[in-house]
Amino acid sequence: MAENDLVRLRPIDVAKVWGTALGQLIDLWRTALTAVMELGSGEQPIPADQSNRFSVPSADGRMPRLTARNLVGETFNQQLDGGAVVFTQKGSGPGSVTVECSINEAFRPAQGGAYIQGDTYTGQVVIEGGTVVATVRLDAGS
Amino acid sequence: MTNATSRYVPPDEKRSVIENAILAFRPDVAPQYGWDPPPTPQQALADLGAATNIPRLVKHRRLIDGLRRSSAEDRAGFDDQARSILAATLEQGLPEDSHQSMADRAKRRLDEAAEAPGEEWLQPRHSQLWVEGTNDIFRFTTHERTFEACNDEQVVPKATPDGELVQSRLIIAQFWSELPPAAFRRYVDPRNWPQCSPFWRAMQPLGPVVRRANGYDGDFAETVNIMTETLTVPLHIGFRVLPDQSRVWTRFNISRAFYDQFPGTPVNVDTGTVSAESVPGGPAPTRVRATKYLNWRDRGRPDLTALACDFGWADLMEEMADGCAQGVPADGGQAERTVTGGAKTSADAAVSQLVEAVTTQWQQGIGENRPYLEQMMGRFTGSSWDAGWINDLLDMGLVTARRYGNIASDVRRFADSLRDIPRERDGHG
Repeated sequence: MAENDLVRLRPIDVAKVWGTALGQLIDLWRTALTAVMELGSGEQPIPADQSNRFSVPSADGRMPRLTARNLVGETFNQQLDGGAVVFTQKGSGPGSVTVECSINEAFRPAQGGAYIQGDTYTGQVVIEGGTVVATVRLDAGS
Repeated sequence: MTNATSRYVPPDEKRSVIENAILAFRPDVAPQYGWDPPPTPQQALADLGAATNIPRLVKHRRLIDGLRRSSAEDRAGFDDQARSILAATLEQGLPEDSHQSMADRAKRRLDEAAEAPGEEWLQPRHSQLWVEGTNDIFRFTTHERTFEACNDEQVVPKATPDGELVQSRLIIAQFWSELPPAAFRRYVDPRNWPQCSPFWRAMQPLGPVVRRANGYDGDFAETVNIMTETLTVPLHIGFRVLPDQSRVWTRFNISRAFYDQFPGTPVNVDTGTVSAESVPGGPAPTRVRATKYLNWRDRGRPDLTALACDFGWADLMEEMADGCAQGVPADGGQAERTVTGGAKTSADAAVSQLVEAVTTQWQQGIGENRPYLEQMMGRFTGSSWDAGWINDLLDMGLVTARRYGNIASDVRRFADSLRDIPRERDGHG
Protein backbone atom coordinates (compact mmCIF):
# COMPACT_ATOMS: atom_id res chain seq x y z
CA MET A 1 0.00 0.00 0.00
CA ALA A 2 1.35 3.36 -0.93
CA GLU A 3 1.65 6.06 1.75
CA ASN A 4 -0.76 8.36 -0.02
CA ASP A 5 -3.44 5.59 0.24
CA LEU A 6 -3.30 5.67 4.00
CA VAL A 7 -4.00 9.37 3.96
CA ARG A 8 -7.36 8.70 2.29
CA LEU A 9 -8.67 7.03 5.52
CA ARG A 10 -11.04 9.48 7.11
CA PRO A 11 -10.97 9.83 10.90
CA ILE A 12 -14.67 8.89 11.04
CA ASP A 13 -13.93 5.55 9.32
CA VAL A 14 -11.13 4.81 11.73
CA ALA A 15 -13.33 5.68 14.70
CA LYS A 16 -16.11 3.42 13.38
CA VAL A 17 -13.71 0.51 12.90
CA TRP A 18 -12.17 0.80 16.33
CA GLY A 19 -15.51 1.42 17.99
CA THR A 20 -16.78 -1.85 16.54
CA ALA A 21 -13.49 -3.53 17.35
CA LEU A 22 -13.85 -2.60 21.01
CA GLY A 23 -17.19 -4.42 21.22
CA GLN A 24 -15.72 -7.35 19.35
CA LEU A 25 -12.76 -7.54 21.70
CA ILE A 26 -15.12 -7.69 24.68
CA ASP A 27 -17.11 -10.46 22.99
CA LEU A 28 -13.92 -12.30 22.16
CA TRP A 29 -12.66 -12.01 25.71
CA ARG A 30 -15.95 -13.30 27.14
CA THR A 31 -16.13 -16.17 24.69
CA ALA A 32 -12.53 -17.20 25.33
CA LEU A 33 -13.15 -17.04 29.05
CA THR A 34 -16.29 -19.17 28.68
CA ALA A 35 -14.30 -21.69 26.63
CA VAL A 36 -11.63 -21.98 29.32
CA MET A 37 -14.26 -22.28 32.04
CA GLU A 38 -16.04 -24.93 30.03
CA LEU A 39 -12.90 -27.05 30.02
CA GLY A 40 -12.39 -26.76 33.73
CA SER A 41 -15.93 -26.63 35.00
CA GLY A 42 -16.67 -30.34 35.36
CA GLU A 43 -20.33 -29.39 35.28
CA GLN A 44 -22.98 -32.00 35.85
CA PRO A 45 -24.69 -33.49 32.83
CA ILE A 46 -27.95 -31.78 32.12
CA PRO A 47 -30.91 -33.74 33.42
CA ALA A 48 -33.73 -34.27 30.97
CA ASP A 49 -36.70 -32.77 32.76
CA GLN A 50 -39.88 -30.85 32.15
CA SER A 51 -37.88 -27.68 32.81
CA ASN A 52 -34.20 -26.71 33.07
CA ARG A 53 -32.58 -23.93 35.08
CA PHE A 54 -29.38 -22.05 34.31
CA SER A 55 -27.67 -18.74 35.06
CA VAL A 56 -26.79 -16.06 32.55
CA PRO A 57 -25.09 -12.68 32.86
CA SER A 58 -27.79 -10.12 33.46
CA ALA A 59 -28.54 -7.12 31.29
CA ASP A 60 -29.07 -4.24 33.70
CA GLY A 61 -30.30 -6.66 36.34
CA ARG A 62 -32.80 -8.20 33.96
CA MET A 63 -32.91 -11.38 31.94
CA PRO A 64 -31.22 -10.82 28.57
CA ARG A 65 -33.09 -11.67 25.38
CA LEU A 66 -32.70 -15.44 25.01
CA THR A 67 -33.35 -17.69 22.05
CA ALA A 68 -33.29 -21.47 21.76
CA ARG A 69 -31.84 -23.06 18.64
CA ASN A 70 -30.94 -26.43 17.15
CA LEU A 71 -33.60 -28.27 19.17
CA VAL A 72 -33.66 -31.90 18.11
CA GLY A 73 -35.46 -34.87 19.67
CA GLU A 74 -33.04 -37.45 21.03
CA THR A 75 -35.15 -40.45 20.06
CA PHE A 76 -37.06 -39.58 16.91
CA ASN A 77 -34.72 -36.81 15.64
CA GLN A 78 -37.57 -34.39 14.97
CA GLN A 79 -36.50 -30.75 14.89
CA LEU A 80 -38.42 -28.29 17.01
CA ASP A 81 -38.63 -24.57 16.43
CA GLY A 82 -36.77 -22.61 19.10
CA GLY A 83 -39.88 -20.45 19.46
CA ALA A 84 -41.45 -23.30 21.41
CA VAL A 85 -39.16 -22.63 24.37
CA VAL A 86 -40.41 -20.34 27.10
CA PHE A 87 -37.92 -18.53 29.36
CA THR A 88 -38.84 -17.24 32.79
CA GLN A 89 -36.60 -15.34 35.18
CA LYS A 90 -36.58 -17.14 38.52
CA GLY A 91 -34.04 -15.17 40.49
CA SER A 92 -31.10 -12.83 40.30
CA GLY A 93 -27.69 -12.42 41.85
CA PRO A 94 -24.78 -10.04 41.42
CA GLY A 95 -24.32 -9.76 37.66
CA SER A 96 -26.43 -12.79 36.77
CA VAL A 97 -29.99 -14.04 36.63
CA THR A 98 -31.40 -17.53 37.08
CA VAL A 99 -33.59 -18.57 34.20
CA GLU A 100 -36.03 -21.46 33.96
CA CYS A 101 -36.99 -22.74 30.55
CA SER A 102 -39.57 -25.23 29.37
CA ILE A 103 -41.41 -26.04 26.18
CA ASN A 104 -44.82 -24.55 25.58
CA GLU A 105 -46.95 -27.64 24.99
CA ALA A 106 -49.51 -25.53 23.16
CA PHE A 107 -46.92 -24.72 20.49
CA ARG A 108 -47.82 -26.09 17.08
CA PRO A 109 -44.86 -26.82 14.81
CA ALA A 110 -45.04 -25.18 11.39
CA GLN A 111 -43.52 -28.28 9.84
CA GLY A 112 -43.61 -31.92 10.76
CA GLY A 113 -47.17 -32.21 12.02
CA ALA A 114 -49.80 -30.58 14.16
CA TYR A 115 -48.34 -31.59 17.50
CA ILE A 116 -45.01 -31.85 19.29
CA GLN A 117 -43.82 -35.41 19.13
CA GLY A 118 -43.08 -36.73 22.59
CA ASP A 119 -39.32 -36.78 23.09
CA THR A 120 -36.41 -35.24 24.96
CA TYR A 121 -35.31 -32.20 22.99
CA THR A 122 -31.70 -31.05 23.22
CA GLY A 123 -30.51 -27.66 22.00
CA GLN A 124 -28.66 -24.46 22.84
CA VAL A 125 -29.74 -21.21 24.36
CA VAL A 126 -28.08 -18.11 22.90
CA ILE A 127 -28.08 -14.44 23.74
CA GLU A 128 -28.08 -11.64 21.19
CA GLY A 129 -24.94 -11.96 19.10
CA GLY A 130 -25.24 -15.73 19.05
CA THR A 131 -23.16 -16.58 22.12
CA VAL A 132 -24.23 -19.92 23.58
CA VAL A 133 -25.05 -19.50 27.26
CA ALA A 134 -26.60 -22.90 28.03
CA THR A 135 -27.41 -26.29 26.64
CA VAL A 136 -30.87 -27.57 27.49
CA ARG A 137 -32.53 -31.00 27.56
CA LEU A 138 -36.26 -30.72 27.82
CA ASP A 139 -38.99 -33.30 27.90
CA ALA A 140 -41.86 -32.24 25.67
CA GLY A 141 -44.73 -33.47 23.58
CA SER A 142 -46.94 -36.47 23.97
CA MET B 1 -50.09 -64.67 64.66
CA THR B 2 -50.91 -65.35 61.01
CA ASN B 3 -48.40 -67.69 59.47
CA ALA B 4 -47.51 -68.38 55.85
CA THR B 5 -44.99 -70.81 54.49
CA SER B 6 -42.09 -69.32 52.53
CA ARG B 7 -42.52 -70.09 48.86
CA TYR B 8 -42.16 -68.92 45.29
CA VAL B 9 -45.37 -67.25 44.10
CA PRO B 10 -46.36 -67.30 40.41
CA PRO B 11 -46.73 -63.88 38.66
CA ASP B 12 -50.50 -63.36 39.08
CA GLU B 13 -50.38 -64.36 42.70
CA LYS B 14 -47.31 -62.22 43.20
CA ARG B 15 -49.24 -59.20 41.94
CA SER B 16 -52.09 -60.03 44.35
CA VAL B 17 -49.68 -60.33 47.26
CA ILE B 18 -48.24 -56.89 46.52
CA GLU B 19 -51.69 -55.38 45.93
CA ASN B 20 -53.01 -56.90 49.16
CA ALA B 21 -50.08 -55.42 51.05
CA ILE B 22 -51.16 -52.02 49.73
CA LEU B 23 -54.93 -52.40 50.00
CA ALA B 24 -54.88 -53.85 53.52
CA PHE B 25 -53.77 -50.42 54.72
CA ARG B 26 -56.01 -48.46 52.36
CA PRO B 27 -59.51 -49.72 53.04
CA ASP B 28 -60.96 -46.71 51.20
CA VAL B 29 -59.47 -47.85 47.88
CA ALA B 30 -60.36 -51.53 47.87
CA PRO B 31 -64.19 -51.22 47.51
CA GLN B 32 -63.80 -48.96 44.46
CA TYR B 33 -62.37 -51.91 42.58
CA GLY B 34 -64.59 -54.67 43.89
CA TRP B 35 -61.87 -55.76 46.30
CA ASP B 36 -64.18 -56.03 49.25
CA PRO B 37 -63.59 -56.84 52.01
CA PRO B 38 -59.93 -55.86 51.92
CA PRO B 39 -57.46 -58.39 53.31
CA THR B 40 -56.41 -58.05 56.92
CA PRO B 41 -53.06 -56.35 57.40
CA GLN B 42 -51.80 -59.37 59.36
CA GLN B 43 -52.54 -61.78 56.53
CA ALA B 44 -51.28 -59.39 53.84
CA LEU B 45 -47.96 -58.88 55.65
CA ALA B 46 -47.60 -62.59 56.33
CA ASP B 47 -48.08 -63.37 52.63
CA LEU B 48 -45.70 -60.61 51.64
CA GLY B 49 -43.02 -61.92 53.96
CA ALA B 50 -43.49 -65.50 52.77
CA ALA B 51 -43.09 -64.77 49.04
CA THR B 52 -39.49 -65.64 48.30
CA ASN B 53 -39.50 -63.99 44.86
CA ILE B 54 -40.62 -60.55 45.97
CA PRO B 55 -37.58 -58.28 46.32
CA ARG B 56 -36.50 -57.14 49.76
CA LEU B 57 -36.87 -53.55 48.60
CA VAL B 58 -40.59 -54.11 47.92
CA LYS B 59 -41.11 -55.79 51.26
CA HIS B 60 -39.45 -53.02 53.24
CA ARG B 61 -41.20 -50.26 51.34
CA ARG B 62 -44.63 -51.88 51.72
CA LEU B 63 -44.00 -52.51 55.39
CA ILE B 64 -43.01 -48.91 56.18
CA ASP B 65 -45.85 -47.51 54.09
CA GLY B 66 -48.40 -49.79 55.72
CA LEU B 67 -47.24 -49.01 59.23
CA ARG B 68 -47.23 -45.27 58.57
CA ARG B 69 -50.86 -45.51 57.48
CA SER B 70 -51.80 -47.33 60.70
CA SER B 71 -52.49 -45.95 64.16
CA ALA B 72 -49.94 -46.63 66.91
CA GLU B 73 -52.41 -49.03 68.47
CA ASP B 74 -52.92 -50.98 65.25
CA ARG B 75 -49.18 -51.07 64.58
CA ALA B 76 -48.61 -53.04 67.76
CA GLY B 77 -50.86 -55.73 66.33
CA PHE B 78 -48.56 -56.20 63.33
CA ASP B 79 -45.36 -56.62 65.33
CA ASP B 80 -45.02 -60.34 64.69
CA GLN B 81 -45.44 -60.03 60.92
CA ALA B 82 -43.09 -57.05 60.77
CA ARG B 83 -40.40 -58.91 62.73
CA SER B 84 -40.84 -61.90 60.51
CA ILE B 85 -40.34 -59.86 57.32
CA LEU B 86 -37.29 -58.12 58.75
CA ALA B 87 -35.73 -61.35 59.96
CA ALA B 88 -36.32 -63.05 56.61
CA THR B 89 -34.65 -60.22 54.71
CA LEU B 90 -31.47 -60.23 56.78
CA GLU B 91 -28.27 -61.67 55.40
CA GLN B 92 -28.43 -65.46 55.44
CA GLY B 93 -25.98 -67.56 57.43
CA LEU B 94 -25.68 -65.29 60.47
CA PRO B 95 -25.28 -66.92 63.90
CA GLU B 96 -28.63 -67.33 65.68
CA ASP B 97 -27.97 -64.80 68.47
CA SER B 98 -26.58 -62.26 66.04
CA HIS B 99 -29.58 -62.77 63.75
CA GLN B 100 -32.02 -62.13 66.59
CA SER B 101 -30.18 -59.07 67.81
CA MET B 102 -30.07 -57.54 64.31
CA ALA B 103 -33.76 -58.25 63.76
CA ASP B 104 -34.56 -56.49 67.04
CA ARG B 105 -32.49 -53.47 66.04
CA ALA B 106 -34.15 -53.39 62.64
CA LYS B 107 -37.57 -53.46 64.29
CA ARG B 108 -36.69 -50.45 66.44
CA ARG B 109 -35.56 -48.55 63.35
CA LEU B 110 -38.77 -49.60 61.60
CA ASP B 111 -40.85 -48.16 64.41
CA GLU B 112 -38.91 -44.90 64.12
CA ALA B 113 -39.53 -44.73 60.37
CA ALA B 114 -43.21 -45.48 60.92
CA GLU B 115 -43.55 -42.68 63.46
CA ALA B 116 -41.32 -40.11 61.76
CA PRO B 117 -42.92 -36.76 60.95
CA GLY B 118 -44.42 -36.22 57.52
CA GLU B 119 -47.34 -37.42 55.49
CA GLU B 120 -49.04 -40.63 56.53
CA TRP B 121 -47.57 -42.48 53.58
CA LEU B 122 -43.99 -43.44 52.71
CA GLN B 123 -41.99 -40.47 51.42
CA PRO B 124 -38.37 -40.29 50.23
CA ARG B 125 -37.21 -38.87 53.56
CA HIS B 126 -38.67 -41.89 55.38
CA SER B 127 -36.85 -44.24 53.00
CA GLN B 128 -33.69 -42.28 53.65
CA LEU B 129 -34.18 -42.52 57.41
CA TRP B 130 -34.73 -46.27 57.11
CA VAL B 131 -31.70 -46.84 54.89
CA GLU B 132 -29.38 -44.72 56.99
CA GLY B 133 -30.56 -46.36 60.21
CA THR B 134 -30.30 -49.95 59.04
CA ASN B 135 -27.56 -50.01 56.43
CA ASP B 136 -25.18 -51.71 58.87
CA ILE B 137 -27.85 -54.36 59.48
CA PHE B 138 -28.98 -55.12 55.95
CA ARG B 139 -25.92 -53.98 53.97
CA PHE B 140 -28.11 -52.50 51.29
CA THR B 141 -27.00 -52.53 47.68
CA THR B 142 -26.54 -49.22 45.88
CA HIS B 143 -29.89 -49.51 44.15
CA GLU B 144 -31.68 -50.22 47.43
CA ARG B 145 -29.94 -47.28 49.14
CA THR B 146 -30.73 -44.80 46.38
CA PHE B 147 -34.20 -45.94 45.34
CA GLU B 148 -36.63 -43.02 45.11
CA ALA B 149 -40.23 -43.74 44.29
CA CYS B 150 -42.55 -42.43 43.65
CA ASN B 151 -43.15 -38.72 43.17
CA ASP B 152 -46.48 -37.94 41.49
CA GLU B 153 -47.25 -34.56 42.98
CA GLN B 154 -46.57 -32.44 39.90
CA VAL B 155 -49.10 -31.89 37.12
CA VAL B 156 -48.13 -30.42 33.76
CA PRO B 157 -50.07 -29.64 30.59
CA LYS B 158 -49.79 -32.22 27.82
CA ALA B 159 -51.63 -32.51 24.53
CA THR B 160 -54.09 -35.35 23.95
CA PRO B 161 -54.32 -37.00 20.52
CA ASP B 162 -57.24 -34.61 19.87
CA GLY B 163 -54.97 -31.65 20.48
CA GLU B 164 -56.56 -30.63 23.75
CA LEU B 165 -54.18 -29.55 26.52
CA VAL B 166 -54.93 -31.39 29.76
CA GLN B 167 -53.25 -31.35 33.14
CA SER B 168 -51.33 -34.61 33.37
CA ARG B 169 -49.82 -36.31 36.37
CA LEU B 170 -46.02 -36.56 36.23
CA ILE B 171 -44.70 -39.73 37.86
CA ILE B 172 -41.00 -40.08 38.56
CA ALA B 173 -39.02 -42.99 40.01
CA GLN B 174 -35.27 -43.52 39.94
CA PHE B 175 -32.29 -45.25 41.49
CA TRP B 176 -28.55 -45.48 40.97
CA SER B 177 -26.56 -48.57 40.17
CA GLU B 178 -22.99 -49.82 40.04
CA LEU B 179 -23.94 -51.76 36.89
CA PRO B 180 -23.33 -50.06 33.56
CA PRO B 181 -26.33 -48.87 31.49
CA ALA B 182 -26.05 -51.86 29.14
CA ALA B 183 -26.94 -54.19 32.02
CA PHE B 184 -30.42 -52.63 32.06
CA ARG B 185 -31.04 -53.10 28.39
CA ARG B 186 -33.38 -56.00 29.03
CA TYR B 187 -35.50 -53.97 31.42
CA VAL B 188 -35.51 -50.78 29.41
CA ASP B 189 -36.77 -52.63 26.33
CA PRO B 190 -40.60 -52.50 26.76
CA ARG B 191 -41.07 -55.84 25.04
CA ASN B 192 -39.66 -57.41 28.23
CA TRP B 193 -41.82 -55.54 30.71
CA PRO B 194 -44.39 -58.35 30.99
CA GLN B 195 -41.59 -60.68 32.09
CA CYS B 196 -40.20 -58.10 34.49
CA SER B 197 -43.32 -57.08 36.38
CA PRO B 198 -46.46 -59.01 37.24
CA PHE B 199 -48.47 -55.83 36.60
CA TRP B 200 -47.67 -55.97 32.87
CA ARG B 201 -49.74 -58.45 30.95
CA ALA B 202 -48.62 -57.93 27.34
CA MET B 203 -46.83 -55.71 24.85
CA GLN B 204 -48.49 -56.75 21.61
CA PRO B 205 -47.03 -55.37 18.33
CA LEU B 206 -49.67 -53.50 16.29
CA GLY B 207 -47.57 -53.35 13.14
CA PRO B 208 -44.06 -54.00 11.91
CA VAL B 209 -41.24 -53.25 14.29
CA VAL B 210 -38.77 -51.08 12.36
CA ARG B 211 -35.17 -51.94 13.14
CA ARG B 212 -32.72 -49.07 13.36
CA ALA B 213 -28.96 -49.00 13.74
CA ASN B 214 -29.35 -48.04 17.39
CA GLY B 215 -32.65 -49.71 18.34
CA TYR B 216 -36.16 -50.00 16.96
CA ASP B 217 -39.45 -48.15 16.50
CA GLY B 218 -42.88 -49.69 16.70
CA ASP B 219 -46.50 -49.45 17.81
CA PHE B 220 -47.59 -51.74 20.62
CA ALA B 221 -50.74 -52.42 22.61
CA GLU B 222 -49.65 -52.28 26.23
CA THR B 223 -51.88 -54.23 28.59
CA VAL B 224 -51.56 -53.71 32.31
CA ASN B 225 -53.45 -55.39 35.15
CA ILE B 226 -54.09 -53.44 38.31
CA MET B 227 -56.37 -55.04 40.89
CA THR B 228 -59.57 -55.92 39.02
CA GLU B 229 -58.85 -53.58 36.10
CA THR B 230 -57.28 -54.43 32.76
CA LEU B 231 -56.01 -51.41 30.86
CA THR B 232 -54.89 -51.47 27.24
CA VAL B 233 -53.19 -48.45 25.66
CA PRO B 234 -51.72 -48.20 22.13
CA LEU B 235 -48.20 -46.83 22.41
CA HIS B 236 -45.66 -45.64 19.88
CA ILE B 237 -42.28 -46.75 21.15
CA GLY B 238 -38.71 -45.84 20.25
CA PHE B 239 -36.01 -47.98 21.90
CA ARG B 240 -32.42 -46.71 21.60
CA VAL B 241 -28.89 -47.64 22.65
CA LEU B 242 -26.02 -45.20 22.18
CA PRO B 243 -23.06 -46.69 20.27
CA ASP B 244 -20.81 -46.39 23.32
CA GLN B 245 -23.57 -47.96 25.45
CA SER B 246 -23.46 -45.03 27.84
CA ARG B 247 -27.23 -44.69 27.53
CA VAL B 248 -30.10 -47.07 26.91
CA TRP B 249 -33.59 -45.63 26.76
CA THR B 250 -37.15 -46.00 25.63
CA ARG B 251 -39.47 -43.19 24.65
CA PHE B 252 -43.15 -43.99 24.61
CA ASN B 253 -46.09 -41.87 23.47
CA ILE B 254 -49.71 -42.65 22.83
CA SER B 255 -49.85 -44.03 19.30
CA ARG B 256 -51.86 -41.52 17.30
CA ALA B 257 -51.98 -44.01 14.44
CA PHE B 258 -53.86 -46.57 16.54
CA TYR B 259 -55.55 -44.48 19.22
CA ASP B 260 -58.93 -44.41 17.47
CA GLN B 261 -58.89 -48.18 17.15
CA PHE B 262 -58.85 -48.49 20.96
CA PRO B 263 -62.00 -46.61 22.02
CA GLY B 264 -61.84 -48.15 25.48
CA THR B 265 -58.45 -46.65 26.25
CA PRO B 266 -58.98 -44.97 29.62
CA VAL B 267 -56.10 -42.47 29.27
CA ASN B 268 -55.50 -39.79 26.68
CA VAL B 269 -51.99 -38.89 27.78
CA ASP B 270 -49.45 -41.65 28.34
CA THR B 271 -45.95 -40.51 27.50
CA GLY B 272 -42.53 -40.72 29.07
CA THR B 273 -39.09 -42.21 29.17
CA VAL B 274 -37.37 -45.14 30.83
CA SER B 275 -33.60 -44.83 30.75
CA ALA B 276 -30.34 -46.10 32.15
CA GLU B 277 -27.44 -43.75 31.55
CA SER B 278 -23.92 -42.96 32.72
CA VAL B 279 -24.10 -39.83 34.82
CA PRO B 280 -20.76 -38.71 36.29
CA GLY B 281 -20.83 -37.25 39.75
CA GLY B 282 -23.73 -39.28 41.17
CA PRO B 283 -23.67 -41.80 44.02
CA ALA B 284 -22.98 -44.53 41.44
CA PRO B 285 -22.00 -44.53 37.76
CA THR B 286 -25.45 -45.27 36.32
CA ARG B 287 -28.75 -43.53 36.90
CA VAL B 288 -31.89 -45.48 36.09
CA ARG B 289 -34.92 -43.28 35.79
CA ALA B 290 -38.51 -43.62 34.69
CA THR B 291 -40.82 -40.70 34.02
CA LYS B 292 -44.40 -40.98 32.91
CA TYR B 293 -47.12 -38.41 32.22
CA LEU B 294 -50.67 -39.69 32.54
CA ASN B 295 -54.13 -38.23 32.21
CA TRP B 296 -57.23 -40.27 32.97
CA ARG B 297 -60.04 -39.54 30.51
CA ASP B 298 -62.60 -42.16 31.56
CA ARG B 299 -64.71 -40.27 34.10
CA GLY B 300 -66.94 -43.31 34.53
CA ARG B 301 -64.19 -45.25 36.28
CA PRO B 302 -62.03 -44.37 39.29
CA ASP B 303 -58.87 -42.50 38.31
CA LEU B 304 -56.17 -45.14 38.42
CA THR B 305 -53.43 -42.64 37.60
CA ALA B 306 -53.66 -41.52 41.22
CA LEU B 307 -52.54 -45.02 42.19
CA ALA B 308 -49.95 -45.53 39.44
CA CYS B 309 -47.10 -44.79 41.80
CA ASP B 310 -48.09 -47.59 44.15
CA PHE B 311 -49.45 -50.03 41.62
CA GLY B 312 -47.16 -50.84 38.76
CA TRP B 313 -44.81 -48.00 38.00
CA ALA B 314 -42.69 -48.16 41.15
CA ASP B 315 -43.01 -51.92 41.11
CA LEU B 316 -41.57 -52.13 37.63
CA MET B 317 -38.58 -50.13 38.84
CA GLU B 318 -38.20 -52.30 41.93
CA GLU B 319 -38.38 -55.48 39.92
CA MET B 320 -35.97 -54.13 37.39
CA ALA B 321 -33.53 -53.06 40.08
CA ASP B 322 -33.56 -56.47 41.63
CA GLY B 323 -34.57 -59.00 39.08
CA CYS B 324 -35.03 -57.92 35.54
CA ALA B 325 -31.51 -56.63 35.20
CA GLN B 326 -29.93 -59.78 36.51
CA GLY B 327 -32.58 -62.35 37.20
CA VAL B 328 -32.80 -64.39 34.03
CA PRO B 329 -29.73 -66.55 33.50
CA ALA B 330 -29.62 -66.27 29.69
CA ASP B 331 -29.88 -62.50 29.69
CA GLY B 332 -27.79 -62.21 32.81
CA GLY B 333 -24.96 -63.80 30.90
CA GLN B 334 -25.63 -61.54 28.00
CA ALA B 335 -25.55 -58.53 30.26
CA GLU B 336 -22.25 -59.72 31.71
CA ARG B 337 -20.73 -60.12 28.28
CA THR B 338 -21.97 -56.71 27.25
CA VAL B 339 -20.52 -55.20 30.37
CA THR B 340 -17.11 -56.79 30.04
CA GLY B 341 -16.90 -56.02 26.39
CA GLY B 342 -18.58 -52.69 27.02
CA ALA B 343 -15.64 -51.28 28.94
CA LYS B 344 -13.29 -51.83 26.03
CA THR B 345 -15.89 -50.65 23.56
CA SER B 346 -16.53 -47.55 25.63
CA ALA B 347 -12.91 -46.43 25.45
CA ASP B 348 -12.74 -46.98 21.70
CA ALA B 349 -16.07 -45.33 21.14
CA ALA B 350 -15.14 -42.39 23.34
CA VAL B 351 -11.95 -41.79 21.31
CA SER B 352 -13.87 -42.04 18.04
CA GLN B 353 -16.52 -39.66 19.31
CA LEU B 354 -13.92 -37.12 20.39
CA VAL B 355 -12.09 -37.28 17.05
CA GLU B 356 -15.34 -36.92 15.17
CA ALA B 357 -16.51 -34.03 17.35
CA VAL B 358 -13.22 -32.12 17.03
CA THR B 359 -13.09 -32.67 13.27
CA THR B 360 -16.67 -31.47 12.93
CA GLN B 361 -15.91 -28.33 14.94
CA TRP B 362 -12.91 -27.52 12.73
CA GLN B 363 -14.83 -28.15 9.52
CA GLN B 364 -17.79 -26.08 10.64
CA GLY B 365 -15.45 -23.39 11.96
CA ILE B 366 -13.72 -23.08 8.58
CA GLY B 367 -17.10 -22.84 6.87
CA GLU B 368 -18.30 -20.23 9.32
CA ASN B 369 -15.14 -18.14 8.86
CA ARG B 370 -15.30 -18.20 5.09
CA PRO B 371 -17.56 -15.14 4.57
CA TYR B 372 -15.43 -13.06 6.95
CA LEU B 373 -12.27 -14.14 5.13
CA GLU B 374 -13.73 -13.28 1.74
CA GLN B 375 -14.88 -9.91 3.02
CA MET B 376 -11.48 -9.22 4.51
CA MET B 377 -9.63 -10.09 1.30
CA GLY B 378 -11.96 -7.76 -0.59
CA ARG B 379 -10.86 -4.88 1.57
CA PHE B 380 -7.34 -5.07 0.22
CA THR B 381 -8.21 -5.10 -3.47
CA GLY B 382 -9.58 -1.57 -3.83
CA SER B 383 -7.71 1.61 -4.51
CA SER B 384 -7.09 1.89 -0.81
CA TRP B 385 -7.15 -0.52 2.13
CA ASP B 386 -10.34 -0.54 4.09
CA ALA B 387 -9.60 -0.52 7.83
CA GLY B 388 -12.62 -2.79 8.38
CA TRP B 389 -10.26 -5.76 8.02
CA ILE B 390 -9.67 -5.36 11.75
CA ASN B 391 -13.34 -6.15 12.42
CA ASP B 392 -13.30 -9.11 10.06
CA LEU B 393 -10.26 -10.50 11.80
CA LEU B 394 -11.93 -10.12 15.17
CA ASP B 395 -15.11 -11.81 13.87
CA MET B 396 -12.99 -14.77 12.81
CA GLY B 397 -11.34 -14.76 16.21
CA LEU B 398 -14.77 -14.92 17.83
CA VAL B 399 -15.82 -17.88 15.69
CA THR B 400 -12.59 -19.65 16.54
CA ALA B 401 -13.00 -19.00 20.26
CA ARG B 402 -16.56 -20.35 20.18
CA ARG B 403 -15.49 -23.45 18.32
CA TYR B 404 -12.66 -24.09 20.78
CA GLY B 405 -15.19 -23.68 23.56
CA ASN B 406 -17.22 -26.46 21.98
CA ILE B 407 -14.10 -28.58 21.62
CA ALA B 408 -13.38 -27.97 25.31
CA SER B 409 -16.85 -29.39 26.10
CA ASP B 410 -16.09 -32.44 23.96
CA VAL B 411 -12.76 -32.96 25.71
CA ARG B 412 -14.48 -32.78 29.08
CA ARG B 413 -17.08 -35.33 28.03
CA PHE B 414 -14.26 -37.53 26.79
CA ALA B 415 -12.50 -37.26 30.15
CA ASP B 416 -15.74 -38.17 31.94
CA SER B 417 -16.13 -41.25 29.76
CA LEU B 418 -12.60 -42.41 30.51
CA ARG B 419 -13.08 -41.80 34.21
CA ASP B 420 -16.14 -44.04 34.31
CA ILE B 421 -14.58 -46.97 32.47
CA PRO B 422 -12.34 -48.16 35.34
CA ARG B 423 -15.38 -48.03 37.68
CA GLU B 424 -17.33 -50.21 35.27
CA ARG B 425 -14.45 -52.66 35.17
CA ASP B 426 -14.07 -52.66 38.96
CA GLY B 427 -17.73 -53.38 39.34
CA HIS B 428 -17.36 -56.55 37.31
CA GLY B 429 -13.98 -57.89 38.28
